[in-house]
Amino acid sequence: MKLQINRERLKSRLPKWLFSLARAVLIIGMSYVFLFPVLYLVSVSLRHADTVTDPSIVWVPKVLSLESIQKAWELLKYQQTAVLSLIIAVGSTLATCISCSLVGYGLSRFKFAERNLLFFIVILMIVVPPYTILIPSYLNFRYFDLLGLLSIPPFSFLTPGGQGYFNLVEYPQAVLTFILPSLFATGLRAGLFIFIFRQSFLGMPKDLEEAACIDGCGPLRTFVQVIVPLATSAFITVMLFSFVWHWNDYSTSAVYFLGDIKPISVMLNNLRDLLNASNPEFIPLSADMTRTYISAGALLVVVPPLVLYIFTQKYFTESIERTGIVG
Amino acid sequence: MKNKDIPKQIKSAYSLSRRNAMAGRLFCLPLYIGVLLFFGLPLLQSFWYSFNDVVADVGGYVTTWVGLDNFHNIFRVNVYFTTSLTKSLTELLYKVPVVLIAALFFALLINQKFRGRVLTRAIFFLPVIIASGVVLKIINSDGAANSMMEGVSADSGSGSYGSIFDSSAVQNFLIEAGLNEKMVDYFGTIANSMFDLLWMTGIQMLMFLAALQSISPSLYEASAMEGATSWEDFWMITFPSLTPMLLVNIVYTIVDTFTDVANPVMLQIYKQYSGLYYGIASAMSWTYFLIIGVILALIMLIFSFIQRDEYLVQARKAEKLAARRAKLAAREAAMAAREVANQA
Repeated sequence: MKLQINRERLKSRLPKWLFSLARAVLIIGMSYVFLFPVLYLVSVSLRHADTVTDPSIVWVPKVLSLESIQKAWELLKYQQTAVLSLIIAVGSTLATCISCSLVGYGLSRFKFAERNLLFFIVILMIVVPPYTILIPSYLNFRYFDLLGLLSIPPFSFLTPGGQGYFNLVEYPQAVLTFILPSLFATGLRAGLFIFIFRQSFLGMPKDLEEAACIDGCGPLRTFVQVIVPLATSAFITVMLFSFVWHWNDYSTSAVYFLGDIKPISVMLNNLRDLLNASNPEFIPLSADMTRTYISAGALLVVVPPLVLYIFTQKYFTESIERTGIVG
Repeated sequence: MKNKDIPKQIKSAYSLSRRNAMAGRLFCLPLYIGVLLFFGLPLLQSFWYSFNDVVADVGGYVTTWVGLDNFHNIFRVNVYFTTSLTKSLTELLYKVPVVLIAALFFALLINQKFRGRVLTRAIFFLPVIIASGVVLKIINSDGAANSMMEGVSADSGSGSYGSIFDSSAVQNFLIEAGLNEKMVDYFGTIANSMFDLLWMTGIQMLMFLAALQSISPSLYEASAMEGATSWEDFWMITFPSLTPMLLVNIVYTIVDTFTDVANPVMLQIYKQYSGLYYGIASAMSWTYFLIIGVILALIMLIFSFIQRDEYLVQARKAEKLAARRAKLAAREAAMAAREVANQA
């Protein structure tokens, strides 16, 4: 009798225990894959630049030094450029969330004649490589005149000097080249965000909206008060991706920002040139020194989004309890 | 009485659907404006460029019409375009399934409750931050870290790192096991790019995670009450709930591998752009994303077919059931009537 109980207990416990072990092994292995380059960056950027080539150092630096981080901070103009990137990323993210969720809702729940055409355009937005429209977009922003509207006399007085267009491709106002399209659901990877919202709204039960409709709730109010709270996880996903992608964007930003102060990722991309230019003797730095500084710069760029993620990730676990429908 | 009611109903239904359509258009208003101002015009311009010879000029570009010359150029004159096109298409064949399965697997893994979950999630988010930016480029160009990424062991810089995804051992093992050489080659490619593939899973993992979070826990409670195993839970509840996000993820993975800066075709396009051959570059990118568009359209068609098919099957089942019930009821009624007649 006693033996039987023990065996039963063993039966129920052994798989669980094995399962936990397997899970731990997998997670630790994956963590290693993901952490390796980052730890490597940290390790290299904390070394003194002279000891980078020392073959006896693998992970732990012999001499801790913040010198390379300081230098990267200065060269990247971190305070200014990080704030610039932050403004772009936060502004565009908020604008993207609002506009893309509205469009996604419109595409998922209402029937109108040109809906499929609109959805086709959204797919086109996902598929078109950014390079394709980069040059026309640049020209569009360089002479931004709202399809010629601003060049007509009564409006042209609004533009600087009455020239009939805005030049959006300069340091401070170039921020608008990201925020304006985001406001109108055509920003960076907006097609994908619309698609994400549409899919997550499609997955929701229609009963909620029908109930709201019967209670006399208009479409906009239904959206704000019923749908948005249910789609928290979609919103957080879009927010995170939008922030990170705006923060990391360097191919389009490099085109729109002329002058010394550019978004942080563009600065990082140019760090090698900046390093060489900052060298007073015009002697090229050794490859290892350059690598230390660039690693330090990369570390500085990675940290803010990571901090953001650590603060927002708890909403991922919280959103479970907010599903409205029971049963 | 009846005749009066019907037109009224139709009328009200009509106005409701019209009101709905208006609401839908209002919701989509940002997109209309955005496409008009920021997307449609540049897209049409680049389409125009692909049939033109584009030369930079003061304050803009001068275009001269050359017809299909640019397309002729990329397919017949340029040696690299078609080969890199086929290369990136074959890459897709193994990348999409491996990335999606891995992403789903890890999303399920980190969706569970265990100690250190916050830390794990932060770590698993690293690829999202790093893989989309300059930092990956830096890591890739770095000797020691690079040897890891590429699966080649190298002795360089600060100590040597044995690679964790060195495929030669795997390949030798598979050959020993008596596998076909082509198969071994195929697996070898996957194993070689394992690091890249795992790094590509970050975004898909997060999307799956979000979808997993929005599944109502009461569904699992109900299935637990019915005594379902977790295997059944996965196929009956989790997987069906994930299908909308699965579509997003497939689309994203395809687009991501296609528009990745390191993609051979993108390299070609970029090369043409930096050489200021805008006409040829536009022709290339239009050809390229027309191909992607066709692939995506096929996948969406399949998805909509699967979903619609399911509805149809269910509807047909319901119809059959209803018909059988009606038949039974009719038979019973007939029996009852006969009985009544007999009694009478």
